[in-house]
Amino acid sequence: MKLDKAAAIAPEIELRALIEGLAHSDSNVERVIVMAPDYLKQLSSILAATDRKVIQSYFLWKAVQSLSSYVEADAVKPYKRFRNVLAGKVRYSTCSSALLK
Amino acid sequence: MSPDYKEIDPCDDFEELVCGGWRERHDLRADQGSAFTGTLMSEQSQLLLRHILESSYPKDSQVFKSSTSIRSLLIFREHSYFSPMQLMAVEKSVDEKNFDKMKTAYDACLDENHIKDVGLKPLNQMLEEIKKAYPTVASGASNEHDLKEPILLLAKYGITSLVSTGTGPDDTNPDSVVVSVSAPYSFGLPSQERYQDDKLVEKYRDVAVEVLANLYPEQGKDSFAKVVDLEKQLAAAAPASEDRDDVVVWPHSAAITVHETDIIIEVLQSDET
Repeated sequence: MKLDKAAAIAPEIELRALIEGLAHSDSNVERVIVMAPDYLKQLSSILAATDRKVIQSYFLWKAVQSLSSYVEADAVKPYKRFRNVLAGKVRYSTCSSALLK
Repeated sequence: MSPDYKEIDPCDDFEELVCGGWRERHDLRADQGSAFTGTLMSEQSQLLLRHILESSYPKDSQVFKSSTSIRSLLIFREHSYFSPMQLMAVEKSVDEKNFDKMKTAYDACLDENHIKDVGLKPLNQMLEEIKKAYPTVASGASNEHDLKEPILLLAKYGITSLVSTGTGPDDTNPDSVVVSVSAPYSFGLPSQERYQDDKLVEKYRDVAVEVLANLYPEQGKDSFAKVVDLEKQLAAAAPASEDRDDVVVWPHSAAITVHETDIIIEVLQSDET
């Protein structure tokens, strides 16, 4: 659908600005495929009803989850343990796929 | 296969017929949950990768030579005004630069002492960036919708937060590329179904609160705990995992989509040119 129409589904997330921010500066995105229009719609109302503090914490948490495996610190250990339990793995290092001894 | 595969009737002992030989030659290590031919292949390539990364740039290696010449051929096609000799030289240094970059990353990853020394520093830097991009108090009335800053910031680090974007061939016109917008695959727990497991969700909440409170002890834990409620709501709003790539389910969402565009997102562009 037209990007503007898609953006109107979820005004909270500024879809146009987002896509323009991600796209190459030479490109001109006017149409997008929206694979989950319902999600976008609900996303907008969920966010509108959520405290900014919680949304900020959500962003922080996403960063912690993605980056914790690169960090050696006690502060993030509980999450590493939790993830290993979920995956049913014993702890093993994850440099790239290859590495280590 | 069993060494006696000629003697074994598959109807008697199929398991022994196909796996007997494997069991004799392979033990499951303590760190392995399973092992099959793919495991061996993957370990083999990891070994190879390690040897490559731990040696110096192979100036005369056959492997590198052939891949270089293939690539310079491709470039030659695009920039035919260059002389092939010149291309070889240019391409080789790019290749070597890439190699050095990989080696630097690999060495940095192996430097466990340094990683321990810097500890949380790199993560904290990033978290502060996020806080700046999305302060708890909106700056000015015009900034009511200022979510794009943190979303873009995280995207820059390859982290999907609230929406997932991508590019791919257009269904109706596969020669053109279309941008798609969808729900993230995961909101925190590995799949959205896991959010229905209350016990797991509470355990996950405890972990999230504990870690975030470790990082920001001065902040109230309430908003940390509510992150998991937000994730739960988002997961419930997202299409079910089994539907999200289902071509049959698609059309009703595609009904309001038009598949036509010829834009190319940066990543793709750098891939294809």
